[in-house]
Amino acid sequence: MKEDMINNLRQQDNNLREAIRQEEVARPRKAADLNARLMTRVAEEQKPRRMTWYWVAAACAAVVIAVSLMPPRITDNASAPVMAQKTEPKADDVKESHRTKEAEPQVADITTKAVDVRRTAIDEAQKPAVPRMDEPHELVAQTTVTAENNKIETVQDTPQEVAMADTQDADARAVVLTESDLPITRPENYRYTPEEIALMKKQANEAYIKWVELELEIAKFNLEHTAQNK
Amino acid sequence: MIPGLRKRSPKAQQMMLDCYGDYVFAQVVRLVPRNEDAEEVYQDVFIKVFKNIDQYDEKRATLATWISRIAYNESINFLRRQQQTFIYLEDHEEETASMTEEEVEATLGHPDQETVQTIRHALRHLPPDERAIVTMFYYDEMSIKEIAYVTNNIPTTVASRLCRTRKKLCKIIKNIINNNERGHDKQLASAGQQPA
Repeated sequence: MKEDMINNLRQQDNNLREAIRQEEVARPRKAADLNARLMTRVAEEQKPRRMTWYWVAAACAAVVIAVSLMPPRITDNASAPVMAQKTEPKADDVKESHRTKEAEPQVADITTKAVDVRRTAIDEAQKPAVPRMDEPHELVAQTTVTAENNKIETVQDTPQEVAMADTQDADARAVVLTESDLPITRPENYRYTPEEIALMKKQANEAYIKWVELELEIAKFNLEHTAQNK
Repeated sequence: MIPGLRKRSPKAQQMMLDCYGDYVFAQVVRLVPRNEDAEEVYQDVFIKVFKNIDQYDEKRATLATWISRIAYNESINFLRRQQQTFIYLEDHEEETASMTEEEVEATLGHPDQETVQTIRHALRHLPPDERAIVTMFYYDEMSIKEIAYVTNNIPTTVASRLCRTRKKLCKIIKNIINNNERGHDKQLASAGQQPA
């Protein structure tokens, strides 16, 4: 109702309508090149945005490529000390109880069980020859296991190079280890494998038998010596 | 045209400028007095239209009304940014309220060329937003609902503002006529003549 009344005003206020019409006619017209300027501005505003998106996309692609091509060596440095702390007591208790403490600080940096095994083999080789027939055999077996499991030639760390300098393999090439080359970083290598356990049992049995044989020989010798005295 | 605009097609944008350019410029220039400023606001309006064309809803308003809304808002925002201070007849609310409808009708209704010129003069004393509402109603022949959409008000508010503006115009016209008569009397007095 009120809207109808207001709409009637439009027909009613002739003077006002005419005045507004004249005012609108008298207003300045739009410049002829205004639309062209506007289109130029629109094109300029759209163009940088497109270019920006291209650059952003290119930067993202470059980052992805860089990350994918980055060697995993960087992550080894972060994860290796933790692994070393976890595995060292076990390795020391079981395998390296007979080793000297000559290079303990340096050994702490060594992170691979495979390297430890190899060092054990090297130390064994450095010892003066013991007149036992089984020792070389064991060494060969350990070296073979190491070579088969880990395929590690040398480690770049200085202590290892020093330790190996005395051996025949001392002049071996420096090889950069990757995470895949360090078995200790794998969860399954936190424990001994069944083959290793079997090998240790076998060695313990053999050592026990030899100890018994030695005791027997000593007993025989004592008996003979007592008999001769008598 | 709208699908083309949504695809940011320059051809569709050019077509829109051809269709609505003059209409938008007229709306802008009635709020923004300086031509250079009006051209700047005009460009801002269409850049905003091109950017926000995805938000246009055909069910709510026609394309022309939607563009008018953007033009109105951009112009008002421009005036606010400029912080221009205008002095208008806002203090005469009581006098305009006491004015009768017959009085207003007599001033604005009967065709009279002299009164038309006076009304044109009086229109320049209105605030920009009220001038815009009056122009949208009388010249663009927009409905109250459309004006309400453009100015972001409810229709009732627009209707009451329209009535108030009419009365205000009458008041301004009376003041102009009185001032003219006084000026004429002074001129006559200074010339040593008696007023008619």
